Amino acid sequence: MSEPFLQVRGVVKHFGGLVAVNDVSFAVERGEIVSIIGPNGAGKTTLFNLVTGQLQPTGGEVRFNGSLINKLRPDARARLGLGRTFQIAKPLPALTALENAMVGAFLRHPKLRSAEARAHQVLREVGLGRRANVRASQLTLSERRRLEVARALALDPALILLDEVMAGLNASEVAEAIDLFRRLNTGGLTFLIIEHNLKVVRAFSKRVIVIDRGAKIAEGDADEILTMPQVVTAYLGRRRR
Amino acid sequence: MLKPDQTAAVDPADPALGLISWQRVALLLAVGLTAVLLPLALAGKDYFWVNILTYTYLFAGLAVAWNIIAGFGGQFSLGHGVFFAIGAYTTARLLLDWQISPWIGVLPGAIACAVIGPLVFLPTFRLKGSFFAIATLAFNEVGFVFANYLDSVTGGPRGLQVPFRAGLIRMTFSDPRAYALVMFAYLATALVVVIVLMRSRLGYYLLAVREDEDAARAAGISVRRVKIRATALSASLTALGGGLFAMYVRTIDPLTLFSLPDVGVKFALLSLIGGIGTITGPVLGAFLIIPLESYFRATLGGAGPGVHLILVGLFMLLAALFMRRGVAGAIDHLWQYWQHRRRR
Repeated sequence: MSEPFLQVRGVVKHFGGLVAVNDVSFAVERGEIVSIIGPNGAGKTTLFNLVTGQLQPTGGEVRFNGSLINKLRPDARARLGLGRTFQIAKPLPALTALENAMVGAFLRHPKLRSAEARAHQVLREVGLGRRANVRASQLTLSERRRLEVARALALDPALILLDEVMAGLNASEVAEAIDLFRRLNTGGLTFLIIEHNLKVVRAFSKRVIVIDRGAKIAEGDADEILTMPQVVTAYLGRRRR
Repeated sequence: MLKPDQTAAVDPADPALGLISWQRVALLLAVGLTAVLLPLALAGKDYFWVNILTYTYLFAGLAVAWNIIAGFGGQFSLGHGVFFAIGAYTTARLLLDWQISPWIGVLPGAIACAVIGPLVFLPTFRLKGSFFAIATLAFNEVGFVFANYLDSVTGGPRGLQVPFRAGLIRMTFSDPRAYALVMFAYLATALVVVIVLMRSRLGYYLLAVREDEDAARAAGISVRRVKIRATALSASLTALGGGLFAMYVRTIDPLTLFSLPDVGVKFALLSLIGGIGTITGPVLGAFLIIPLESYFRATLGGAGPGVHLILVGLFMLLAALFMRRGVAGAIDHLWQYWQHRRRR
């Protein structure tokens, strides 16, 4: 195997004097499912934003599919095949669910009809088929999360970054979501996810990266990682304050 | 979450923007244009009413053009007077100096504004809401100063006069109804452009950019490119209207062209009253406000200066209070209410 699909090397992000991400390196191979875990404020979402381009790294490099993408704007990265959801869902409130999904679908389907067809398809996949003509502002919180996933999927990305899309879902909904993601993964989609629910992490991903205070503290096989004492301490916050 | 539906059935409720169905668009357009043309037939040769109608068609078209970038794109411009004036000056100048027929003469101004529009807006695209509005308001004032000083092009404060010599090629008519038809054609053109736009990828992207720029970028949309294209379209349609305006009034000067209450802010007002960010809103707004204002001006003009403006202002105030989404929004609301009741 030559170069990894996504490679993050020595990435640093400063916000003024605060070091949000400190010299983080990791790689994701094509077809993998990788989880990033870590306590609140550890820098997971910042790391995501560095990969998708919402933020520019202070140092280090991000390579995707063989090319250096550090300097690219987020829309250029999306066109290269990086899809993402936002931790706080960003629906386009005045548009219907269908129109929201179409905004994503237009990237690979410039014609109205085929964008519409693709949008209907992703909405059905995430279980919003019957809500297609409802304005996003009228959707429930959990429906907005699904819409977020639908819009990202409509891009037909090669790598999708999901930022806590399972938060607040009940057990059966989580199971359905994992089911869908597994199917998509079988279809060739690569996943990089931020997830708090360790059951999901264990069930869904093979490899886990642990971030704490902006630095990578561990990486490896899910079962192995989740039992490491330093991970348990950092992640579950057993530390006395 | 994320369970694939068993059926592909779509709930017919809430037609939302109604942009999807061609039949609906075609029907609306046919009914709308007929309704809009009918008053012209009724007005006959009565100059008073034909004049009001001419202005109504023209400003409906201008509001539709403004609404592209301001309503659908969320960039609330108060600087469209600049494009309006560029269109008016170029058209008049080309006819005066080179005898170029206004039918062709309106085009160079429109094409120029497709470039000038994005150029002047580019530095301000980062601004949002009222900040963008204020910055573009400044463009209008700069334009006014320029027009006053560029004597050789604009005729300075005295302005330009196009002599009356009737003829189809000169777009100068002795029957006032001919102007009304020209303005009607302009309105129809603007509407067709907007309908085609809003059924295209660019239209959807424009809405996405207005709603959330970060989400738009994540969907692969170049926010800047979308704004540039929409501005080019909006500015050139506005310049087209400016050219037609010049041919109708035949006397143009900086005070008229850069007037805020009669030009720059009026586009915004008409769209706001009618329903900003909708296809029909600006047209509805123009059909309410322009005749009302003209009628009041004519009937109450003698009662005291500005009495008609007080009445029009009062009407706008009521509209702002009770129709937050404009007339188009209110109609949409009633329609949905009726649909809802019918289903019970």
